[in-house]
Amino acid sequence: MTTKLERNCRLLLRFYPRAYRKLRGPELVATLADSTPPNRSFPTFANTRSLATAGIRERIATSAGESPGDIRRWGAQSGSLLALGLQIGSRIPGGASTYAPAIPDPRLIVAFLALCLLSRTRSARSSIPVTLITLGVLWERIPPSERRMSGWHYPLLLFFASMSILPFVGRWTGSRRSLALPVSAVLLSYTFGTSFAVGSFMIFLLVASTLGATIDPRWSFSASYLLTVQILNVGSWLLLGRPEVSTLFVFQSLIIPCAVLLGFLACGTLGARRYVRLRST
Amino acid sequence: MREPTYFVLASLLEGPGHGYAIIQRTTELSQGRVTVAVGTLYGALDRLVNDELVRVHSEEVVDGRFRRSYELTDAGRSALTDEAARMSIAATAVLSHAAMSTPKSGKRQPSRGIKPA
Repeated sequence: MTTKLERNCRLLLRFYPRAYRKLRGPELVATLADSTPPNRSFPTFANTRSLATAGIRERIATSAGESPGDIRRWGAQSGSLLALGLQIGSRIPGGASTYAPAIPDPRLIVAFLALCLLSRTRSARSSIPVTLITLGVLWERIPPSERRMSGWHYPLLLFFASMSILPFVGRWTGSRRSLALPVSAVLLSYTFGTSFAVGSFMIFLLVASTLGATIDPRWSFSASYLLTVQILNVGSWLLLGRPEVSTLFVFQSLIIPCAVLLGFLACGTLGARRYVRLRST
Repeated sequence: MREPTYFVLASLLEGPGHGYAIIQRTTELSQGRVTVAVGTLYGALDRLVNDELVRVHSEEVVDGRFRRSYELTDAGRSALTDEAARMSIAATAVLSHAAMSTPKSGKRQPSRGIKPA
């Protein structure tokens, strides 16, 4: 007969991937139940924490490779997918986003998709210069009149395009489930606006990290990537659009995000190193 | 080798043991200093099995609970002995120096056999 304790133990095993649960689940439940004092219906805090840590580590190992580079790459790819989803969501007519000026030039969208496909081919793998040169050529092909008319719009798009493509030059390290990220980002951005979507994502990550729920270093890299795109957007707008803005605006839109970005990068780097160290010992 | 891994291996010197037995033996061997949590234990066991230092000994169901026992392999026994010898040399190096220092001042005395006046 299954006791309440065993049910709770099985609940905790959800931290682990399905394949691992299938392999070790009954054994882990038995050991957990044995290690729990008789009057408790939930495992001890130390065991709960260790299961969460080990389970998430196992998930990273099965989906993101084993080196800090793989973890960084996964984070960058997920972040770029999120950024792509947010940008698309903000540019769908009728959405909640207030600042999107218009749907981008179709030629840019086609070029962007072509570059994505190009970066997936074997010959272009690990060839970041190829991507950058192609982007440069693309930039030159845009008529100067359009460049002037669009102001900061085209540089921003090119920044975004280059930032989005670079992580995909090389091996895709995420799982297929990661593809749900851009879809959810499109929906969130379309329904509530890009600022709300980015803000809620950042606040969620900060709160989850503070509570210890998110120890996965991939999400720190993902968030830092998303922040970089936002900082580049605002930075290029300030530099190329030359608007009159207050010091407070610069502080809120650039200085604070840069500080948060450094925090996320530090957390991600430390987390990735710790993860690799734990796996190798 | 990390300390929990060392004690997990050491706990299997007595003979095969399942997860909870390994946790208990580890606590005893380390005199309560190292308590291996369940997640940490199975992470260590996974690595040790992959490295062929530990292997599965038996599987059985006791009181409705599934138990899998592990035992040391020859390679595991050898790795454990090597690690213990390495730590012993390291400990001797420190303890022999500590014995030469004066207990009152805590300063190290000259190491060339020159006694202070």
